[in-house]
Amino acid sequence: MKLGSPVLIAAGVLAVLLFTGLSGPPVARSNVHSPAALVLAPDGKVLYVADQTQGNIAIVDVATGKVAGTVAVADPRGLALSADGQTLYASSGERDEICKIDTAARRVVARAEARRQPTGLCLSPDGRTLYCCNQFTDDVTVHDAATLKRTARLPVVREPRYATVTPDGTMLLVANQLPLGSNLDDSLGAVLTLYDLAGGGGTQVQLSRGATDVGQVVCSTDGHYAFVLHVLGRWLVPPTQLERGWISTNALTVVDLEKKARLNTVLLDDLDRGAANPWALALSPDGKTLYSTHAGGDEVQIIDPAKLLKLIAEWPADSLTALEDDLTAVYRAGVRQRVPSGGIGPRAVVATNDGAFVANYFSGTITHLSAQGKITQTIALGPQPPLDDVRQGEMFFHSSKVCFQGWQSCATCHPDGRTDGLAWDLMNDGLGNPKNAKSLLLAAETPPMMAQGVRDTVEVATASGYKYILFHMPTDEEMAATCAYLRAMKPARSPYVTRDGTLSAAAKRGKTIFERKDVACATCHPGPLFTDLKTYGVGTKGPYDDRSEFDTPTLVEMYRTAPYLHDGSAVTLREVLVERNKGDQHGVTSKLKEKDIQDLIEYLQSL
Amino acid sequence: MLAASVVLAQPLDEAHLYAKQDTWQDTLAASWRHLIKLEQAEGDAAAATGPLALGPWHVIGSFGNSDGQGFAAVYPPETEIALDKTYSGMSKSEAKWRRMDSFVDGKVHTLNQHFRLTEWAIAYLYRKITAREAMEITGYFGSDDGLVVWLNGEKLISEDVPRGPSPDQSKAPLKLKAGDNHLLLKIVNRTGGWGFYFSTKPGGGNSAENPTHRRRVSALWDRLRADFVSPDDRLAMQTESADGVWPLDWDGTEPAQSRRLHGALGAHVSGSREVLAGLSHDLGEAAVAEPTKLLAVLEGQAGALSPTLDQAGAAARLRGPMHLAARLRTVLETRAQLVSTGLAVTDLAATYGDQYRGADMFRDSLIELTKRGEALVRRADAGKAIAPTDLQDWQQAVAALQQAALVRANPLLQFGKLMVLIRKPGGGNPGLPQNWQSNSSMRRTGWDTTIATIDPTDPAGAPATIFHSDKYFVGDLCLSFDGKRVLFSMPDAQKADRYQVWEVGVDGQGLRNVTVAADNDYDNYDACYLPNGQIMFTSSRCVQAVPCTGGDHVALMYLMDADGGKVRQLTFDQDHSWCPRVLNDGRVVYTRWEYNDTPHYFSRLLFSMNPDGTRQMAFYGSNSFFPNTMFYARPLPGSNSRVVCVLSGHHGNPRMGEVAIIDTAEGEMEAEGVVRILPGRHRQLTNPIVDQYATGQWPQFVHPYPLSEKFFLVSCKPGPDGWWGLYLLDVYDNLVPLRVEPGAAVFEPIPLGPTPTPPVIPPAVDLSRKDALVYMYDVYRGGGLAGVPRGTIKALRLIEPVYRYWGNGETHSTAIDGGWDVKRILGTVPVEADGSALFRVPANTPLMVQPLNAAGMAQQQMRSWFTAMPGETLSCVGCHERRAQATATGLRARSGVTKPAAIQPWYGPARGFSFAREVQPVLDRNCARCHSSGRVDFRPDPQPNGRFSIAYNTLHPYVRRPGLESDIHMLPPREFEANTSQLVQMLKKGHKGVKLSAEDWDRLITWIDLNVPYAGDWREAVPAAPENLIRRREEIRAQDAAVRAQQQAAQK
Repeated sequence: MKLGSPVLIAAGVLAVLLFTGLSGPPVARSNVHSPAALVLAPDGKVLYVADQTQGNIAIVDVATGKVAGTVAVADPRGLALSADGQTLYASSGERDEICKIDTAARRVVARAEARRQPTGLCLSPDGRTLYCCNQFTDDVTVHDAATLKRTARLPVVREPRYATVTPDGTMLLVANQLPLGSNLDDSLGAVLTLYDLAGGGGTQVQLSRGATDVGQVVCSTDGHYAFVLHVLGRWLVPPTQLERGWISTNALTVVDLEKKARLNTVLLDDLDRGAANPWALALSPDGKTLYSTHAGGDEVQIIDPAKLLKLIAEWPADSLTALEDDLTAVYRAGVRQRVPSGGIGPRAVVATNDGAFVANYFSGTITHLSAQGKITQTIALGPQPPLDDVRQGEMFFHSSKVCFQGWQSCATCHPDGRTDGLAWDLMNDGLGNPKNAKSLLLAAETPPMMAQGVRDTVEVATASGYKYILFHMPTDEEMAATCAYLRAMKPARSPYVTRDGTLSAAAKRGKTIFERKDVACATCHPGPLFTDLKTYGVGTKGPYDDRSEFDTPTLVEMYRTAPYLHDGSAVTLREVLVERNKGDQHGVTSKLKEKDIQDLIEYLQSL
Repeated sequence: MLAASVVLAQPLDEAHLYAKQDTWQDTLAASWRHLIKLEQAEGDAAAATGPLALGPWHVIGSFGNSDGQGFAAVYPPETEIALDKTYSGMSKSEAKWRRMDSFVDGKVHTLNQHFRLTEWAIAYLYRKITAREAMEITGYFGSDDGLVVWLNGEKLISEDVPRGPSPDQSKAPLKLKAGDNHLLLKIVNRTGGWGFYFSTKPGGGNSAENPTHRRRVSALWDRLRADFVSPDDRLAMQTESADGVWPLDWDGTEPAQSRRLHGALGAHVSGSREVLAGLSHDLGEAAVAEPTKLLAVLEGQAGALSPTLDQAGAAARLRGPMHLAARLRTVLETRAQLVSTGLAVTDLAATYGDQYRGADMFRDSLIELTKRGEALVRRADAGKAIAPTDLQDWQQAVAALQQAALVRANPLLQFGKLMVLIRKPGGGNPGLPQNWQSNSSMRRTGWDTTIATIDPTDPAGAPATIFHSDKYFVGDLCLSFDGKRVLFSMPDAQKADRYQVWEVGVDGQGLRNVTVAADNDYDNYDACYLPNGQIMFTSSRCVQAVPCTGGDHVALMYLMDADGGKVRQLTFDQDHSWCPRVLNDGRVVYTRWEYNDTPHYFSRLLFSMNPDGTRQMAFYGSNSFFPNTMFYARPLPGSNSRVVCVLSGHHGNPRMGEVAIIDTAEGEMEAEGVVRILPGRHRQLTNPIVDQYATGQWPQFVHPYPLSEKFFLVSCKPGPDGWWGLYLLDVYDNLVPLRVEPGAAVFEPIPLGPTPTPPVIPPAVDLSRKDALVYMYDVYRGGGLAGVPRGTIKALRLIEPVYRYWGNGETHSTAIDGGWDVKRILGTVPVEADGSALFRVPANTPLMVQPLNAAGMAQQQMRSWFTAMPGETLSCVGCHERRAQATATGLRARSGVTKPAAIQPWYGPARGFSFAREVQPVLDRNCARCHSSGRVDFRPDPQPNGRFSIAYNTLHPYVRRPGLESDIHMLPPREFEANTSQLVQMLKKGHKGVKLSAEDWDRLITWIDLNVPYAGDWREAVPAAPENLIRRREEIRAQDAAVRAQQQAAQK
C-alpha cells in the first residue's frame, strides 16, 4: 500500500510558546530520575540523557561518570545530535515542541511547535533535516534542522515513536508502535512506514501478523536492511498458557529496504525464558553489533547482524516451523548473547564499536556494557529517592520479572497502560470470543472490569491478570503498587483539543449532539467518566459471543484506543456510529446528518 | 601349565606359602602356585571330612498366597521337618518334599519350572548342615519375592518384599552348633518369576570373593612389599595389580598372565592415544609429536609379541614395553590434568577476580609442573626409564596443586558447611536401587547412615551429625529453600518398616514423620520441597507393579501439605516417577519411566510439571534411544532449560552412570541437547543404542549438584575397587577428591544454607471438577501428521491405559505383542476443519490419542499418554510439535466454536477393550459360520494350554500393527494405518461375499488401531484375579484429596 506524497506545510510555525492548562502527564511524576533517551557526543566523551521525570537533559561526563550539567526540557522523549556534536535536539512530549540546544552553552536556543506528543527524533545524514515522530497525531513532521521550521508532515499509521533515515539519506523509516485494523482481520499487525524522501511517497511494510508494541528501528550501515524490534502477539489463540511463547513472543524483524518487504522475523526469546518488552535498538558504527534492550526483563541482547542474516538466508524453506515460530533458532545459531542491563527498565541504548550505553528508566542509571556484555560502568543521574507506590506500581506494570518465565509484562498488552490494538480470547468468559484489549485508563473509577464485567473491581482484575495472564502469584506489595499506579494514570490531552483543553468549533457542535436526549449518547456515557457503569445490549453481539450485553466503557482517550467495540471489529468511530448501528440500538444515530456525525466524531476524539 | 622350574620344597601349609625368588614377579608366581596347591588339598580334605557338610536342598510346595497373606501364614514345614510326609497344598494340590541336587550354591535358581502352581504360591527349602564343631558362618540369600529364613527353628530373616532374585540380597550370621543344623527357607511368590539364591560365601563363592583366599593373597603381597622395596618394584607392583595381571582367581599359568600383560600393554597404548588426541587438540600437534612417536614404537612391539603369548618367557618379554606404556600413559594423563587444572584456574580467575586468591601462584606452579612433565616424556622418548620417584613426586605435586587451586581457593566452595550422606556398608551396592526399582524394592535394614555436615575444603575434618540411623536405610535428601530443614526417606518401625518421608532440622532438632497416613502397606519416599511450602513425593500407594517384573512396586508422584495432609496423586503413569526437583522458574523436573508399544529398554525420560501437577510434558528425551535413562536432574543456576543429570542404562549399573549437562533449548531428543558429558571435553557425542548404558566403565557417578554452570559436586566411584566418595567435577575434566571415607559411601552433597525460592506458579486446578479442558490449536502442525493433507483428520480417539496390580508382571498379560496395559476406550472428540479441537476429558486419567480419518482409521499412534489435572486447561500446538515450535501467528483456530465437545462414546460407555466382548461378536456374525475349525478357526474357546482364545490366536497374525517394541522414534504418519493389514485388504477386496456393517468395520479397525488388545480388564488378563489389590487401589484412591473434593462438590 502506498500513501500519498508528503503533505507539505505551506508555512511552518516557529514560535516560543508559553503553556498553560496542561492535562496530566502520562507518567508518574516525582523527583525520581527516569532516563528515556540518550545520545553520545561524536568524541565519545559526553552523554546527553533525556531524564523524563526530572524534565531535563542531563549532560554526563563519561570519564568521571558525573552529571556535568542539565538543560531543562519538559517531559523529554527523543534526542538527536548533530554530527559535530554542537547541536542537540530534544522533543518535549508534554509541551508538544522541539527544542534546539547549543551543547557548548548548555541552553535551549530555539523551540518549535511539533504536533501532539513528539517522541523520537532523527537527523538526515547531511544534518540539514530533522524528523520528529508525533505519537498522537500519527505523523512525522519534517523540520529544517537549522531553523526548526516545519517543511512537511508525513502521515504514518499509528503512534510512531522511532524513526531513522537510511545512510544515503533517501529513505525515512518510521516504526508505528501499534497496529491499526479490525480485530476480525487475522492478518492484523503493526507496520513499518518507509518514506521515499525523494518524493516517491510512502510504503507500509507489515512486520508480521500479530506485531505490536513496536520499538526502535535502525538501518544497516550498508542501507540494505532495517532492523526493528516488536512484540509478536499470538493473539488468535486463547491464552491458556505462557510456556513456549503461547501468548506473546518478542521479535526482531529484518526488512529488505530494496524490495520494501519483510525479509523474515526471528524471536529473541528462549525456549523457557521470554525477552519481554523489546524497546530500544542500536547498531554499532562499524555495523557489526546490534544492541537491543528488553525493558521488561532488564536485559540487553548483543546481536551479530551478520549471523542473523545468515540464519535467515539458510532457514530451510520446507521447515515444518516458520522461523518466526521457532523459539530456539536464534539460540542454536549463536546469533546473540543475553546479558543484564545493570538496571531496571532499559529503554534507550547507544552503541560504539566497543560497547554500548544503556539507559535504565526506573533505576535512573546509565550503564556501559562492553561488547562482551560486561557492565563496566554505572552512572547515576542523581540520588534516586525511595520509590512511592505509584512509581513502584509503574515498575511492576512494566516488569516481566513478575511473570512466569518472563514472557511479558502488564505493559505488553497494555502499553502505557492503554491497548495493544489486538483482541485476546481470555478464559474468563468462555472460549472463541476474543475481546479487544481495553485501555486501563480510569479502570479503577469505572467498575466492573472486562468487556463482560466479569471482574468487580480493579483489584480483582489486577490479581486475575497476574494470576491468569502472567501466571504469577502477586505479593501484597505488588498488588497494592500496581493498583496505585492504575489509579494514578491520568488522561493525556487529546490532539483534537487546543493546548488549554478547549474544544474545537466542530467538537463543540458534536458535544451538543452527544448530549441530546434524542441521540442518547450521554444516557449511557454521561460525563465526567462517560459511562454509567452499567451493561447493555447495543446490537454488537457477534456470532461467537455467548451473551449480548457488554459493559459500558469510558470514552476518554478514544482518539488512541481503536479499534472499537468489545470485539475490536470497528476501526473507526464512523463505523461504530453509522455502519454498526443500523437499528439505533447504540444511540439514535440514524437520523443524524453526515455533518452531525462528523461533529460527533470530532467531539468523541476530543475526550 | 606350571613352570617346571618351580619345585616346592616347603611343606604345604599356610605358613610356608611364600617362596622367594630373584624378582618379585617370580616370587609371587611361585608362591601363588603353592597356594593353589594348598587350596586344592584343602578342598579335597573338606570334601572328604569337612568341618562343615552342607546337605542337599529339599523343596516343597506349592502353598497358597492367593490372598496375599501367605507370608504370615504358618504351613506345616514351619512346624515340622518330615521329608517323607505329604501335605495338602494350594488349590487342592498335593505338596511333597523333593530332593533337589541341581540347587547348587552360589547360583540363582528359579522355582517356576518345579511347580504346577506358581502364581501367589509359596515354597519351602530345607537342608541339613553338619558342623564338626560349633562355628559361625555367614549365609547369603536372594529371593523372589518374600523370604523367611530359620536356622534350627530360630527366625533369622523375614522380608516381605516384592523383588527379583539376585545374589546377596540379604545376609545373616549362621551360628552352627556341632552336629546337625537345620536350615529352612520360605520363598513367597506373588506372580511371575519365583526363585531363590543361597551361598555361604559373598558373591557366590567365586574364589575372588573367598575371604580366606583373599587374605592369603593379600598376605603374599604384604611379604612382597616388605622384600622388594625399590621404587621400580613398588611401582611395577602397583601397575600390575591395578591392571589385573594378578587376578585373585589366577590359575597359575604363564599364558594366562602373558595375555593379561599383553592386554594391559594394548590398553595403555590406546589409552595414551586417547589422551594424546585431547592434548593435541589443546596444545597443538607439535606438542605431542614425541610421545606419539614413542607410542608407535610400543604399538609395534605389542604387535610383534602378539603371536608369542603362549611361549615360555612371553611374560618377561612383555613386561618392559608394558611398564613403559603404563608410565607414559600416567605421564600423559597427568599432563592432561595440568591442562584441565590450568583451564579451571583461568576460568575462576576470570569469573571471580580478586575473590579467587592465589591465581598467579597457581599459574607459576602449573608452568613449573608442566616443565617437569615434559622432561619425563623426553626421558622416555630417549629410551630411558621414567623413574618412579620422579613420576610419583610429580603426580603428588599435581594433586596438591589441584587441592590448593580448585578446592581450597575455589570461591564456589566457600559456602561453609556441606550436607552429605555417609552410608555404610559402603562396598558392593551402598543403597542404590536397581534402575527399574525404587526404595520399596530395596533392603530396609542393615544400614548405618549419617546425615552429616562436612567442610568441603577440609578432607580430614570430622563430620558433624544431623541425623543418624544404625539400622535403617536413610536417603533422598532435600534441603528446604531457607536451608533450615531437610526431608529424607527412611523406614518407620511404627509402620511395619515401610518407607516414609521424614523431616529434621539441620540442627538435628524436630524430627518428624511427614507422611501421616496410618496405612502400612505401601511406601512413601523421595520427597521435594515446593516453593509454596507443599511437598511433592513419590509413593507406591498407587498399587501398581512394574510391568515386566511385577514384584517391584511402582511409585508415582504425589502432593501433600507440609503437615502431611491432603495427599493428592499427580502422576498417573505406567512406571515410576523419580527424583523431583524444582526448576528455577518454579516448575518441577522429574524422571518419568514409561513404555507402551515402544521399545521398553529406552524410555526413562525427563518430564516437567507445575507443582500442582498441571502442565505435565516432556522435558527431554522423548522418542529417543539415547539418553537411555536420566536420573537426578537438577537445574543449572540461572537457567530454565539446562539441567545436570546422570545418564544410566535401562538395566545394568544401579542409578549410576555418566554426568551430563543437557540443554533442552539445543534440542529435545537424543544427543541434540546433551551439551557435555563430564568428564569428556573432547568427546564426540553419538546416539548409542545401548540397554546397559555406561555399565562397566569407570568412573561412575551419582548425585551431581551444580555449584555453577561449570563446577559440580558429585559422588563418584573412580574404579571397581574404590569407595563412593565426594568429588569436585568441572567442565574442564577436573575430578578432584573432596572427601573419601574408606568403608563408607559419601552421597547426596547439598551445600547448607538458603537458596532462592523459585517463584510460585499459581495453582491451576479446580479439585471439585472431575474433568479438564483440552485445546488443540492445529492437529496438522508438528511432525506427527507431517504430510497428511489438511482435512484428513475428523476426530481424535481417546484411550486410557489401565495399569497392572502388584505382583502381576508379565509381557503378554493383555495381548500378544500388543502393549503392556489394559486399554480402555473412552470414545472420540471432533476435530474442526481448521485442525483445531476443543474438548473435555476426564482428569487424573492417562490418555492416549489417535487422530482418525473419515474411515475411523488412526493416522498416527501416540504410544504414550498425557494426563490433565482436575479443572486444568491444557493446550498444545498440534500433533507432536517440537517443543521449540510456537503457535503460528495470524491464523485463528476455532473461530466458530465456544463450547467444548464432550467425548462421543464408542458403542456404549467407556470400557476396557476386550477381544471377547468387542471383536468376537463381529467374527461370530461374519466369519464363524465357515471358520470354526482347522487353521483358520474363530471359535471363542480358550486355546489349549494358553491364555488367549482360539479366535484371537487365529486373527492377530493377519493384522499389521506396532506390536510391543516398535521404533521409539515418532512413527511416520499412517505407518500402521489399518489399511496396511492383510485382514482389511482381504475384506475390502472381497471375501466370499462377506459384507461387514459399518459398526463391524469400526470394531475391527479399532481393535487393529489399539494394537490388538485381548484382555479388557485385569480380571480377564491374569489367571488369578487380584481382587484384594483391585479393592485396595480403590480404597486408597478414595482417600485422595481430589476425589474427596469431587465428592463434596457432588453433595452440594
